[in-house]
Amino acid sequence: MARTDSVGQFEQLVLTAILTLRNDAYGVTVQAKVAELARPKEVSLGAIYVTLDRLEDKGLVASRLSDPTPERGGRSKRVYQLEALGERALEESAATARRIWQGVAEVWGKKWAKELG
Amino acid sequence: MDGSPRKFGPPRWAEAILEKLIPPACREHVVGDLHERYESPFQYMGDALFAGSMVILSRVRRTSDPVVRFMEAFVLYGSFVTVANAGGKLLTEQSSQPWGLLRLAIPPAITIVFLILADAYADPAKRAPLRPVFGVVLGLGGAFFCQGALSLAGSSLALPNLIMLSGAGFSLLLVSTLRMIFPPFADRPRGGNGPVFWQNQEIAGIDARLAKGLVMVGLVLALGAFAGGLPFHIPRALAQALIILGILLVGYQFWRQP
Repeated sequence: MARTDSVGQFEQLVLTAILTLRNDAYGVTVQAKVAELARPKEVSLGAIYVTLDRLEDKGLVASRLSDPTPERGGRSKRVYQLEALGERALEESAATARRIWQGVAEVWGKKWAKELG
Repeated sequence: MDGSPRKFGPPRWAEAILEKLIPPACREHVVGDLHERYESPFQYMGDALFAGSMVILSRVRRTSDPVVRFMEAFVLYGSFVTVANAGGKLLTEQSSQPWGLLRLAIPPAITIVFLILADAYADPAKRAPLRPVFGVVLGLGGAFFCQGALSLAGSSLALPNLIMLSGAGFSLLLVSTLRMIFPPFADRPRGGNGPVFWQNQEIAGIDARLAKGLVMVGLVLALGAFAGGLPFHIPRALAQALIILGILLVGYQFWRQP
């Protein structure tokens, strides 16, 4: 099994947003979803574009242009979807996050986990 | 273009400016996204400024291979230094002047900036066989323009016309050849991460006969320089390197034929 490139926290958020948005993952919706996941941090659209480009270069996501829509001034969306490599990278990130969660919960107790969970 | 905001969209003039500034490869979806997010002219300007600049920088990063850029810069500077060294006299003069050899780096630096922008703003949907040469011509045009401005201002940083012309000629030949071997991003096959040289592909889609012709011209020039048949002197080592490069290119041309 080929090794996946390591992904940073922001990249994980973008990958998660693409996963949850399914077939409607494009610049505006990805930015809104990542802002929701990263709250209270603010997320700019520019940072989303840069990260999407980087993920595409790494082969973790693929993109295609959709049909033009009137609410966008007759312009197309660039719709993103996870590649197999991206899904695996996200799985690894989720497994790591789960281990971190379990480790912290062991020390700080179930009450803390319940408050945050 | 009336400049007034439309009911449900950004001002036409603002969108028109944004369309010009965003590289063609990202224009469609970025301008569309900003149109969709439009709430007020002020918000739109902020979005366009920050998102637009990030998109341009990202495009520059994606279309610039640092190793190839370094090779281009090296070849450009090498051309100007070689030409300035004609007869071994001018180089000494250059060294003793204020800024010394550094001013020889001004035209290469300007050319590199233009090359970076030309590659970033190249439209991947349109294939242009002469794009590798066009980028260099554009870059050297910018260098000539800046040298002209420096000359008019009477600056000591302006290079003598002979050096500028000869250096630009050499640069055009060598950097164009380099860009045919390592074509701009827009001409590369998508999804390929390996060095372009090792990918079995056409050289930037250029006509094979034209590519061969250019290689032969380069080889003849290099041989001429080696034999002293050119009106200016270039170091023996550089001429030898050019000949080896030419032979490799001709060999590669034959090897890649089906």
